[in-house]
Amino acid sequence: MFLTILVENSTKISTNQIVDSKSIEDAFKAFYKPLVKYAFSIIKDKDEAEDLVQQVFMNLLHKQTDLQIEISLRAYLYKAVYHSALNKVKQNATRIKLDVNSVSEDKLNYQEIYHDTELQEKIEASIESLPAQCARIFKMSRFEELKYQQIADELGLSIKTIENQMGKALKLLRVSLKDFLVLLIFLCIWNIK
Amino acid sequence: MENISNIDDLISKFLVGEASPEEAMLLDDWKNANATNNAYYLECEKVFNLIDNQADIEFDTEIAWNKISTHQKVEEVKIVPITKNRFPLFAAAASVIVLLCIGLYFSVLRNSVSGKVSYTALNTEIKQTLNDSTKTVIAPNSSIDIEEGFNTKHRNVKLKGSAYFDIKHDEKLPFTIQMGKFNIKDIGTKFNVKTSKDNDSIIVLVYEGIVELSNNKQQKITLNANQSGYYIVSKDEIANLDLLDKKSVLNFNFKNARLQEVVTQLSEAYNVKIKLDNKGQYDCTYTSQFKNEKIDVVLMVITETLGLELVEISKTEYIIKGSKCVQ
Repeated sequence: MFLTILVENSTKISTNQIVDSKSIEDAFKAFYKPLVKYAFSIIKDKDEAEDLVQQVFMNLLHKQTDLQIEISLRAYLYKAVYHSALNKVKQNATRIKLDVNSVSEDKLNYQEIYHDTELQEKIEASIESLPAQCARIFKMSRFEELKYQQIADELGLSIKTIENQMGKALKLLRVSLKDFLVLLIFLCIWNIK
Repeated sequence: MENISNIDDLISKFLVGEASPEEAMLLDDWKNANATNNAYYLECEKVFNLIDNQADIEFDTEIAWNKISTHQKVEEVKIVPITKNRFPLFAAAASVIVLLCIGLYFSVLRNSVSGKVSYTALNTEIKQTLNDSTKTVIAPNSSIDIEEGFNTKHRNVKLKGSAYFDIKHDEKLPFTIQMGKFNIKDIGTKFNVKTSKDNDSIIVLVYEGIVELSNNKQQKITLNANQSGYYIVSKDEIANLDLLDKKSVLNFNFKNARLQEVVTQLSEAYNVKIKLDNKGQYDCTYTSQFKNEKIDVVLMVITETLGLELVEISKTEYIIKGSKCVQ
């Protein structure tokens, strides 16, 4: 009837604790937000990220009788979200190809009016002021949307180097764009996309 | 807490969607360890959102749980996965209703009191040209109220929320926007007014012309094109947001420049003292460009690139430490 699982405690791991609907509810309340953020980082769509995490929990609720998990509930959830998110990305890849041509007119007009060119310039200037290789890698990741592995292959570098350079870019951009984060509060209100 | 060699690497890996489940958990533990870590993470997330032109994501855990727990009860016998495909009909019906409501609401308000006009945008923004040929775009959940006599006796409007204005200047009838105690007066201009979600901050971004901001405390500031100002409602305070001020252009384009030369140029331009504490640094070469950056940012980028250490003695005095450069 119940799922046997290792439940992680903040300090120690207690084994074979029985997980019922109540524990799943607790796990939901504790991990929903970080899990959605994690899913979002991979699929870049807020609604899909929420649906996906909810689906993972629904599966967990339904599978109570026949599922045996040997790792902690938290690790199980993260892994499940990770794999569903990757699947979703694969599904979406085909759909996006079809959508490319249908950019709505409204969106373009909208952008014309609310283009915050100053902000855009500032962002571009901040990226340009990064060390050359760092800027190149950052642009490949953010604007060409390449994966770390693809960037590494293209530039003949190791993934570790790409990770370091992206970390460095983040560190420097955080400092140079810090003041602009004030503006971001305003940009978020009135969704400029 | 496990060892994290470089938190920036981990955060960026997470934000670009390349973190493994283990790394995602490691980052969550680090964030939850203390408030400083969490604040640092949020700032990084905002930087990425800013660059990707993406709004911060927000959601309600309670509502989400109710959604799946009710599904659980209903679906004890039959299991149906939640997919978006179940909603189109409902969504279509809902949008028809919303449109009807907007139409109804709109016509009711427009005709309710003679001479008085109110334009309200509910779910989507609306474009509206006023009697005086002022063009506006009203943001969702915002409204513009106009009293009798507009364009004959006065050109005052009351704004709630956010809107864009393109105004033709008329010296006899200056265009004024009232937002409680806060006033925006134009002098021929295009500008954007945005109110924050908590309704406590109002920002004015000027694209063309001149705008004057004032409040009940007789505070007054003037904004020119490409400048911004903001008003904090709870404090009744107006301030310049000089981030967008283009007046002072500080442009540098270094190509294999000697560090000593770079430092001399920067000290003169920013009027600060910058000391290289080791002669080994003089001949390091540096390539990059900076446009209107603050001096501490410029120096941080340079030292980070060259593997040197930056020491800030004061806002006007810096020392660059380190015996040799990483080239």
